[in-house]
Amino acid sequence: MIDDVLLREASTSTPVAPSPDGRLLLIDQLLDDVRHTPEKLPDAYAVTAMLESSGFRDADAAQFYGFPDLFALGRALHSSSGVQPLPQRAVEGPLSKPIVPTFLRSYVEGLSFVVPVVIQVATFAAAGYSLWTWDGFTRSQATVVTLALAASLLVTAPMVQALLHRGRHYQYVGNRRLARDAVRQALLLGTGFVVVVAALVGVGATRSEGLRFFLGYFVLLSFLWASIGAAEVAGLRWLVAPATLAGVLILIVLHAVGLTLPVAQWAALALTAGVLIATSNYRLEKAASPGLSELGRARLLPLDALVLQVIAACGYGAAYFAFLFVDHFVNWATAAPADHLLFELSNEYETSIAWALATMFVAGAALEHPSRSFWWQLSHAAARTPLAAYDTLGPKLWRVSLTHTRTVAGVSGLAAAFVVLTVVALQTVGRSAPGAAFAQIVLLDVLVLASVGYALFVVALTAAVVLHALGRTGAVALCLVLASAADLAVGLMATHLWGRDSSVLGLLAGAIVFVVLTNLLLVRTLHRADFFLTLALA
Amino acid sequence: MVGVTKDSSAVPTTRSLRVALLNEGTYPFSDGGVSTWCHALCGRLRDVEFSIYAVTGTPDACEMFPRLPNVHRVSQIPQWGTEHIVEYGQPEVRGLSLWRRHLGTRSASQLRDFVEPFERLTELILEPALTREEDAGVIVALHRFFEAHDYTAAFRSPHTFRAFRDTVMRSRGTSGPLRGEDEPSVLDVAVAVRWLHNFLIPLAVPLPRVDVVHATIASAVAMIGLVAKRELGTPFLLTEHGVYLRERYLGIAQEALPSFLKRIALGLAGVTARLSYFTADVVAPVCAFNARWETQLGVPQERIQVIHNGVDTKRFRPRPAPPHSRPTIVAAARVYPLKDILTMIRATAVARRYLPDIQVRVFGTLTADPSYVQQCHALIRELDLGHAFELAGPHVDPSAIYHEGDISVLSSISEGFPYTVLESMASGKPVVATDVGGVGEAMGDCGILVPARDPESLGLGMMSLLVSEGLRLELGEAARKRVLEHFGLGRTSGAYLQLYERLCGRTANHAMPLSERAA
Repeated sequence: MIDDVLLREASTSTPVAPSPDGRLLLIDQLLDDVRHTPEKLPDAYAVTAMLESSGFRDADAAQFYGFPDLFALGRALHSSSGVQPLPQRAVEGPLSKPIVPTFLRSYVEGLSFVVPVVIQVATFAAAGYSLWTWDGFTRSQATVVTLALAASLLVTAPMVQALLHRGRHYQYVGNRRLARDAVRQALLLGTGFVVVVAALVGVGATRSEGLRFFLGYFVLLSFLWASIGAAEVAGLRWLVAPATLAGVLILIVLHAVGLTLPVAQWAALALTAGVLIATSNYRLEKAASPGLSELGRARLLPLDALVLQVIAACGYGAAYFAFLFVDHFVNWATAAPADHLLFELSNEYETSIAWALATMFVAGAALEHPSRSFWWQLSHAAARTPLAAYDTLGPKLWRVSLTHTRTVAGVSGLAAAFVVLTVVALQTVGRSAPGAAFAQIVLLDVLVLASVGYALFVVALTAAVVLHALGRTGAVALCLVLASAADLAVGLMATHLWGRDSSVLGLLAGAIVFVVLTNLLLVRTLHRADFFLTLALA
Repeated sequence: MVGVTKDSSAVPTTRSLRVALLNEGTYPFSDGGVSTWCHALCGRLRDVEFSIYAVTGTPDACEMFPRLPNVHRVSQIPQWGTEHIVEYGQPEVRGLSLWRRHLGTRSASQLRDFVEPFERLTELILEPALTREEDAGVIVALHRFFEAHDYTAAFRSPHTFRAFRDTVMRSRGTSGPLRGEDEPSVLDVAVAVRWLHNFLIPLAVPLPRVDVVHATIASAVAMIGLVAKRELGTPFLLTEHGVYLRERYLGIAQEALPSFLKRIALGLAGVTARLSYFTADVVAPVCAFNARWETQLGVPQERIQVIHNGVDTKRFRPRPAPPHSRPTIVAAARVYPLKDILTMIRATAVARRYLPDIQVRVFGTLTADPSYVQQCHALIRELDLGHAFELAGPHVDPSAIYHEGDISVLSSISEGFPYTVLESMASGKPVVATDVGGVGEAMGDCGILVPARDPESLGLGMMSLLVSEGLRLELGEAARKRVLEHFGLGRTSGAYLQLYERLCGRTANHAMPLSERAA
């Protein structure tokens, strides 16, 4: 900044023009100040603005420096200040923080989100039932409940994705009032959708006990998934585990006092979801209350624009769960059904797949690390890549992605091995243990293949995490659709050739296709990483 | 709400006029001098129907002034915190039309009419001094494109990104405008595209169908006036309170941004300011000081008409006030870097050497720049001025502020023709102020002028007025008289009304480019 002493001299000295030598000296001093100003002065107007804001007037320019006005003085100073040399960019450092401690921290946190599942498995082992399972269900009932579970996940996935997308967006821009409103809007729209589906099913429900059964589980499970989404936006993800535990305890009590198990399960599901929704709503309401935003005019996106914004996320949510259930549907549709059902599940297959799903949960926790660190790595890599070398950003990010993929693949392999060995051990112990909680027959080949399939699915999700960060959610959804198609085609062919339980080959094929497609997509995307970074910033 | 008084002396108009007032960061969503000016103008010209187009930072802004009956509509245009143009900029685009636009803004051929002018705009942003009058066509072309296409999708297109990136790439090297600059990073370029998406939103706004478009700032919002003039022949009037470009130079210099992004922000300001100057039928700065910049940036002298701000002399008038127990100085200023409150705090420490019981109270919003407010609090603590310097926040009655002190102070490093000076003078309270912008024109000999960023001079000026009651009263009376003679509200609003009428009378010529008119 201009020297204060010089400034005072300029503004308070007697109006006597300095000698030509004196002027040169003053200009030199001023030039020195301009050169050393901490702000970069891109042109002569910037110099003039700086001089004016330091107290210089046109009269000073004329009297002390011999220029007609400050603009002329600014031009002279700027042209004399010279072009600054191109500074060297900082030497590139590693694109990730020390991986082991950060990975372990993220992984443990990821595992903590599996606690609700563990609670249910433990309850099933101890009591023979959980919030929506029971070893006393008839095969038809089990089919209907599983169908309700699949339908609830498929129907509510778009709602939950929209809820997460909108809620997080408004929290990011700091408008908690709209975050609250967006969650309510998504819940309302989702509930409307669930009600429409339920009403369509309900037309036939009056005559069918199975459909009434389906409706109960479908509506309440939908409510539960929505409540978990709301808790996530409200920053209450941790509450899901205690709420599940409370739900299970309520279920045990209600069943103990004489309610039939399905009714007790419905009550427990309703209470668990209700507690989560109420607490999330309270939290969002409380966050929205103070502050100016409450007074503001900001409003939610109009519905048609909302659809444009969330269509990719909604598609991804639906495609994700569709993929996870394709092999089940193939399996169910293969056998001849009984009890007037269109299809019927196989206990052995479902049990084997349910165990294999543990691989996905245990391995999936490893995705927490790329989910948290990739955006940081992306922005740091982009900040340290000069524009002239923009085409090197993609290879850098590919290396980052490969590191994550290797880590997740390692964890997934270990998870698959752990699950298979654990199930085999439990089967051995379970058959001889009292109560025989783990006595359900597990098909070892299905377990192994499904575990490998889910492990590959998680590996593919690593690439998907990177693609999400680059704004390619819609393309990932398309990969899932193609993977599901492969799952369906291979599953149908395999069951036709080798029998019902070969539908697991479809899952394996679908997972392989998903791995290949997401990684091909990632390569294509990283080829234009700078462009997709722009989309991600939006 | 900012307080207003009922004014029975509204200026009558000879026929009904419709005026679009283009604002940024001011009326009606923020307080401050420009907002006060807008509200007074709308309030005085009651027969004029005003439509307000207000660019705001985020959508959260709420109106801070009571809606006047002749304010026909207020269109808010938030720059940040929105995702799609239909939220605020184009609220009438709905349903199938939205989807049609979206699907029609994808391929290279669909985007050709956007990418070409966008490329030219990028070149100008990188080298704003090259902006010529004919470049107004670039802005018109972009507006035409956005009338039929999806604004958001256009900026999210790979063709747009490539056009921007390649233009920046061409600008590097030994002869390009980016020579000698820091090499922009890939992240800088991505952020710049995002910025342009946000800053250019006013180009997508439907044109106002009015008799005159009146911009209060030469920023992107003024481009609505440029396009309205070119497309509809609507006369375009530009009033500059501060000089937009000058204030951007000062503001952006303070920000911790990569130099490329500073260049983009300054370049865009340079382009919009120059195009506004080239296109406006009349540039009406609020003081002659501003006109220096406008002339330098290409506005011919004959298109400049200085119209000084006016103040409500009934509302701001001398009042009997209880004597203050301590020598008290008041300031009406947003706590914001351009107001240089840090220098005011240091000046208080200087004055306190001579008057240990002095107190300074600053009335104005504390939310404009929270980090700057923190700096001020830290300096107050550092200089042990806890009992002498108060950041008092907004006052419920601005007209009462000046009577809470013996004199008032202004420490800004940049100003137009500040209301706080006029109001203080009208209230009979002399002012110690930095000699920036039009402050000298406003004060004449009725106060003390000191150099900007000079706490010693400011402190001594404050002290000298406080210790001499005779001088204080003499300057206070002279100040009131000067305002009554030169800066009454009726004079100002009457001048604008005359200008509106004159511009409407010349409407037939306005679609013509300036060069042709000159010929």
